[in-house]
Amino acid sequence: MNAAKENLWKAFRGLVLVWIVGMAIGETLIAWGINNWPLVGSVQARITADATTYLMWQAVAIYVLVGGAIVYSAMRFRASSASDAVIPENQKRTWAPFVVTWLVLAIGINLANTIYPGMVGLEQLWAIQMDTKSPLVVDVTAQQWKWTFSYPKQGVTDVSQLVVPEGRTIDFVLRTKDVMHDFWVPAWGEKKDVIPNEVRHLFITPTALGSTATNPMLRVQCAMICGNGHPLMRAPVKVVTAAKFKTWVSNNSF
Amino acid sequence: MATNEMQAQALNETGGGKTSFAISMLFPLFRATLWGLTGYFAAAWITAALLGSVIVNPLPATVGYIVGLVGWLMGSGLWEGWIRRAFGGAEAPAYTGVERYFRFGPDSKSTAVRYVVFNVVAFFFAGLAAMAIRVELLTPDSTGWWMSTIHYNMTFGIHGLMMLLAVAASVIVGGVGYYLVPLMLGVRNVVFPKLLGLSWWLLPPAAFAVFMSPTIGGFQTGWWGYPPLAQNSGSGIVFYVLGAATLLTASVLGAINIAGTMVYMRAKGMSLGRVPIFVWGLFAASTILIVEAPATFTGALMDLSDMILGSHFYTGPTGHPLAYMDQFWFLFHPEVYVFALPAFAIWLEILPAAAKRPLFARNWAIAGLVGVSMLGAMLGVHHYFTAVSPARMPIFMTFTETVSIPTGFIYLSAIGTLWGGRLKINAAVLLVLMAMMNFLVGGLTGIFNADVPADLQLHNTYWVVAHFHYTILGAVIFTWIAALYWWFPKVTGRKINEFWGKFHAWWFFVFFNCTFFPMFIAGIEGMNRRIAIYLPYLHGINLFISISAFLLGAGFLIPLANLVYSWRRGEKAEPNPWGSKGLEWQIKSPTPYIPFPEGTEPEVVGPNDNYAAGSKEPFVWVSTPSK
Amino acid sequence: MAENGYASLMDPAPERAKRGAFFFLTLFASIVFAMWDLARFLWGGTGVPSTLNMGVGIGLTVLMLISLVPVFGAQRKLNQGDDKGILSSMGALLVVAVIMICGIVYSWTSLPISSGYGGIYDITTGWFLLHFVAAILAFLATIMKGSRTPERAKRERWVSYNVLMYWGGMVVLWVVFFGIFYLA
Repeated sequence: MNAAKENLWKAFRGLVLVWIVGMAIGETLIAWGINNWPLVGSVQARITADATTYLMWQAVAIYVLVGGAIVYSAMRFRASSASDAVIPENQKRTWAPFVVTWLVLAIGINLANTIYPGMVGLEQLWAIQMDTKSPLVVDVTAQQWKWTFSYPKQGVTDVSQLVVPEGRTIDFVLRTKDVMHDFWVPAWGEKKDVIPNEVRHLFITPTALGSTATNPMLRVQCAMICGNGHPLMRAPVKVVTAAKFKTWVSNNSF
Repeated sequence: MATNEMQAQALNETGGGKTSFAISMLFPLFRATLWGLTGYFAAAWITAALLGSVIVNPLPATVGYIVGLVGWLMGSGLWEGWIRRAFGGAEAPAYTGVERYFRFGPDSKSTAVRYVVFNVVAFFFAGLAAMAIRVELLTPDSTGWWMSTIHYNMTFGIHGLMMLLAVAASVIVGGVGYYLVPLMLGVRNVVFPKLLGLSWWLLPPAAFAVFMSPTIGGFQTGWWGYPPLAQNSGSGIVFYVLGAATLLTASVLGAINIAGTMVYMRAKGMSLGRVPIFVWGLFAASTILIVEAPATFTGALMDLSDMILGSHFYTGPTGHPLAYMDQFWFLFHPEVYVFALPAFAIWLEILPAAAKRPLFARNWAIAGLVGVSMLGAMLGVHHYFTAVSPARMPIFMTFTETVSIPTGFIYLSAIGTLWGGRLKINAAVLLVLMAMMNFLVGGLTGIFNADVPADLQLHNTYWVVAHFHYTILGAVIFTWIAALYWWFPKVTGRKINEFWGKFHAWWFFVFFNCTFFPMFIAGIEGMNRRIAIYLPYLHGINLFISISAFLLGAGFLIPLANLVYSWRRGEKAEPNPWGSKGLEWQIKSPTPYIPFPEGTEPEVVGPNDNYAAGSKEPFVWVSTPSK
Repeated sequence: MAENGYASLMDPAPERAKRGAFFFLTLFASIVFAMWDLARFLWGGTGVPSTLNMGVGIGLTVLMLISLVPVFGAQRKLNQGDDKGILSSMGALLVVAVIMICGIVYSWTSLPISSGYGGIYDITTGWFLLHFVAAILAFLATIMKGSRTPERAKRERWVSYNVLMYWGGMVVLWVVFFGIFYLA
């Protein structure tokens, strides 16, 4: 009995070693992946990318803890052969320290995740929306299968290219003429469904200059299946400086 | 072992008819096909003639489908086997031999075998659709010689609907569950045997209609069927809606049987705490179907009504397309638990027998299964965070994240069972372990979709595609094959080939991960779902995914060959090859038509996972008290 | 006529199980109706259109409530083991179901499906109509089985119980429907 117990603790030391090695490898890979993250082109994208990368660190840690335990115990406690008839000594039906640790960690991680990055991220996104005094209003009209943009205050109507200034919060007013669509600029880190009979708003504060030509992450892309033209329902995006935006507006308004 | 003593009992007279297969036994199948097709075309043509339209229009197709379905069912033997008798007519003879596999009947075992066959066929065709998708995605542009974007949209719609409702929904619940539930509970059949028999016969016409939807115009919506796109992109949506509703009905009929059998028909001495964990998993899944399927069911019918009857629930200036999303996801999020909970339960059923340890923290595992099914009703909204008002975001984010706690109990229980045991790793156990590793990835990446800020970016990208393939293909299908291997001796009396079993397990695991892991990266890099044409910067990763997918797809021929070959030629298995203490192994293998003879019944006298040396057997056979 | 010997052995559920498990079926069906009832407020608003024929609605509801009399009568006879005695009650219920179908079809004429309230009213009553058709078949089956093969009807008494349970459930669902679609 005593020998068996010691044996299990010895096995546990091996598991800890697996955890340490696995954690080192896994988190290094994640660090490398996050280092090569695609363009984060708006304040909102920073928030959503932070949420994603935080969850990645955590997911890898949990994967190593749980997955490591599965692989390690399957290998460490395997039978010697197919005809092995030894009945293991350990016939425990439960072991409170393990169960309690598991419960505490599971509930704790869940609560923590709901607060950060969940609620914190949402509050940040909502705060930008609430604090914006005079956003640049852009009317977005989706239809099968193209996007049109209008700048009501600037007097620019029905252009097929989205040109926006850097550093200013934009209020995209989303409407659709036919079926459901979804307004998404991958670099801006958020998408919003465009729903028939409803008007939706998406607030974005672009931070990265560039255009679709320089980085394909900067493109308007329909992200909700909308028929056979769906994959090509894109529009070019250009993020320019405030001064250049002014010039563009004066060239394109009536 | 006492198990084998019980096996030695004279059970031979219950083995059913000893007839061998004859081509005339296919008559009901042939008649069902004939009546089904005749019914379809006659009704569709008459409707079209009356309305002055053509038979590919939505309304004639609907009427045709309903009449064809009735014709198919009547032809399959429903008339002689049930309806004629219910009206006081002549009784059908008892089909106890091979012929029972080819006609409607009340035998749960042959129904389950038919489920396996149906699932394999549906998996094959829906898998071909997946291969077609990957061929299209080999190049960034529209691969015109292969398929147009219209065909691409039809293909992934059929792939999704078939894989979910014709494969995942019934692989474990149907093929494995309907076979084992009565045996594990110690009864000869389920509570409503004919209803269970009917559930299988609903599947083939529904699946056939969905596969045939391109012939009447296909559907562009994917498997979601979101209005108003559904109503203006081809009449094929009619077959999508009717097929989905029929498949759901079949699931519900099975669920009623599982729940009813578990609640009312457990063997003597089988308290709820001693019900096998697999039956608990099925019960949890069944409650989901019974309680939550109505929302989606009504949604499908209203979608159809908008299409054929001119109502405006979701379309037109007064329609509410968001309401469809609410109804649709109210079942179809928990539906993934209908797939997954039985798979979890299979892990926990197999691992104790393989590790020769009792199931660790059994009560927590049951709480996990039931907990997931209960929480499941409250979180479908996370499938459309990008469409809902901000007020709903925090609520459903919290609920969705909470579901990982009961899911974790399954892992708690599995790891505790492995720890300190002596695990015999055969092909089935290997697949279970791989399924656990895959589901772990699927589950952890699910947290990203539950977390609103991360989801707003990842929603509808390849991240999501990778996530649910990890849970459904990586966990449920792996577990399905594991279950087929584990209970193969029970059904056929033979063993599968272990070498090829393990070989393809590794094949799957490697190419599965090569196929689906890169999709996470593609999603982060801005590749959205359901596109035939993508930007060139995503070409490299898609090329890699496609080639891995072809290798993965080809690998599925190995288990198919293994199962078919072992069924005919495999090594004969002893009655209880894994030394399991489960009640199903106490019955002769292959299971006789009547599992245990009249006048005897099992009585449960202890937990069914007590593997300690010298422990007593958990079941004894007692004689049934006469009334 | 010889009954097959395996049939009873391979359908082992006792009456308690057959009647108990039927609950799951009625639960599923009731939730479907609950969905329609909830949907009424989303699509039909809170008012009732003037074209709704209140007289027919009240008449059908009263008829459904009266139909509980033969249900309870038949239930009592079944409890006493009188399988023949329920046939006249079943016949009466069959007539009720036919009248209900006529009433439903009549009320469709004044409520176009393209309007908000009309749409949800028509689809809900259409679903009721399907259930009344099923009920007619069930009553017919019970009557025919009871008169042609009384022995079988006696052995499978749970079928009659479940048919009565089904109709009782329909009455409850109809009354709820009346409250929500006519009064609310």
